[in-house]
Amino acid sequence: MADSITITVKLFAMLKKYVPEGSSDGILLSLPSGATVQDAVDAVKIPREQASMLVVGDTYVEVKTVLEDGAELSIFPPLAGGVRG
Amino acid sequence: MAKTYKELMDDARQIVPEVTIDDVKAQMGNGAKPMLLDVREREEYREGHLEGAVPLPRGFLEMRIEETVPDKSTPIIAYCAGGVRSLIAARTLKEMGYEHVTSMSDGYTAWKNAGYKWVADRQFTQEQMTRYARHFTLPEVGEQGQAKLLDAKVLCVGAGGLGSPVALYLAAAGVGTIGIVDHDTVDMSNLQRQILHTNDRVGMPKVESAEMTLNALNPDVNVVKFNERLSSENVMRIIKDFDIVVNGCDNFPTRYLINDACVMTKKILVDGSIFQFEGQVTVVDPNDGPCYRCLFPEPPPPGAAPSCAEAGVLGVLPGIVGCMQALEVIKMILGAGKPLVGRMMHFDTLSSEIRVLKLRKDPNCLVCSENPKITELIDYEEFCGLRAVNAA
Repeated sequence: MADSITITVKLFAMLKKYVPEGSSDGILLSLPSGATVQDAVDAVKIPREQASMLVVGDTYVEVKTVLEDGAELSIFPPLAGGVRG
Repeated sequence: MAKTYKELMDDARQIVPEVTIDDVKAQMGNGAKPMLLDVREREEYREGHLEGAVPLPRGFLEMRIEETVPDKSTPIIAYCAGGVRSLIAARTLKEMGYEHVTSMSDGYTAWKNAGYKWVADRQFTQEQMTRYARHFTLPEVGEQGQAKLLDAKVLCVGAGGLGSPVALYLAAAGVGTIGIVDHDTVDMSNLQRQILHTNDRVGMPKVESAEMTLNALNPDVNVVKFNERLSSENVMRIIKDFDIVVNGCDNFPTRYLINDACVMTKKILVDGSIFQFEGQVTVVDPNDGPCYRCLFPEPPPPGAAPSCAEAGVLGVLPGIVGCMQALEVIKMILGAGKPLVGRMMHFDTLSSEIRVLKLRKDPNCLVCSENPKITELIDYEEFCGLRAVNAA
C-alpha cells in the first residue's frame, strides 16, 4: 500500500476564496494514506463550520470518510440568495 | 373482391372477441385490470368516459398506439359509442400484433345508460384550448395534466430574482393559484433581474406589481398576495392552503423557517439559491428524502455567506435557477419525470458546468428524522446567529 494519496479538491461559491492562485481547476493535495475528508478540509484551511456539504464524485460523504487515491472532493457551501435588496 | 360494410364487420368479428359492458365491469373489478382504450373523438371523450380510459381517437390509432402501448401483450379493451369503431380499431390492433384485444360491443352509450361509473374531464374554454395547445400535445401533460396545473396551488416566497421567473412560468403554464409572499417594494436596483416588475412601478409593493404582471399574462391565474415578511408567527397561516412552496428568499433564517414549516406540514418545498455566478436547486419531499437541514444542519456563521446585495449577482442567474425551480414544480404537479428529490443540482455559470449531487437523509436530522428534536418553529434569527449581530 502506498504511503500517500493524491486527491483533487474543488471549492464552490464563497469557498472559492480559499483556492490558491493558479489552482482554478482544483487543488491537488498529497495526503497520507488513510486520510479522511476532514483531513482534506483542514489541509485547504476551510473553517470546519463552512464545509457542510461534502461530495466525492457525485455522492454525499461524511467528514470521517476515508479518501481513496485519485478522489475528487467537492465542497459546497449553502447559498443565501435569492435576491432582494 | 370488394366487401360490403356488413361483410367487413362480420370479418372483424371473426378476428376480434367482443365483450359486453357487464363483462367489462366485472373485469375492471379484478386485480389485473385490462387497459381501456377509448377510440372516440376527443370531444366525445371529454364529455364523459370510463374511469382510467386512455383516449386515442380512431383516426390516430395506427400512428400513436405503439407510443401509447409499447408492450403488445398488454390486454386491451377498446370501446367507442356503440361498438362499431372499436371493433374496427381492435381489428387493426390485432393486425399490428397486439395479442389480447377485445371490443366492448355495446359501447359507452350502453355503459352510461346502465348507470355504471363514468367520469368527465375538465371542460376547457376555447381560449384555454388555444392557450394550452402545446401542453395538450405532450403526452406527459395532456388535458389531464393541464387540469392538474389549473387545480394546483403554489406559494412563491419572494417576488424577487428567483420568484420572478418562477411565478411568470407557473402563471404561463396555467397553475391556477399562485401565492406571493413579499413585504418589499419595487426598487430601481431590482430591475436588473426581477422581471415581474417594471420601471413605472418603482415604489409599488412587489405583491401588487406581481399580481398585475401575472394577471396580464394569464387571467386563469388567481394571485393571492401576502404583503408581509414571513415569520414563525405567520408561516403556518400563509402556507396552509398551498400544495407546494417555492423558496426564492434571500437569507438563511427564512430558509430554515420554510424548511421546518414544510417538513412539519408535509408540504413539498422547491428550494433554489444563488451566489454571484452559481446556483443550487433541490426538492424537499417530506414524505420521501432529505430536507434542507439534512444538507446543511447548521447555518454558516453570520457574514460567511454574503447576500446578493452585498456580493452582487449576474441578473440572468436567478432567471436560470428560477426556471429550474418552476420546472421542478411542474414535474411534481404532473407526476412526470424524476424530480430533484434527494438530489441537488449545482450550476456554475462561469464554467458552464452542471453537477447533480446525490444527497442523503440525515438519520439524526433535528426536524425530519424519526425522532425529531425540533417539533415547533423556533426563533430563526437567533438560530442563524443574527440576533446578536443585528443588535451590535
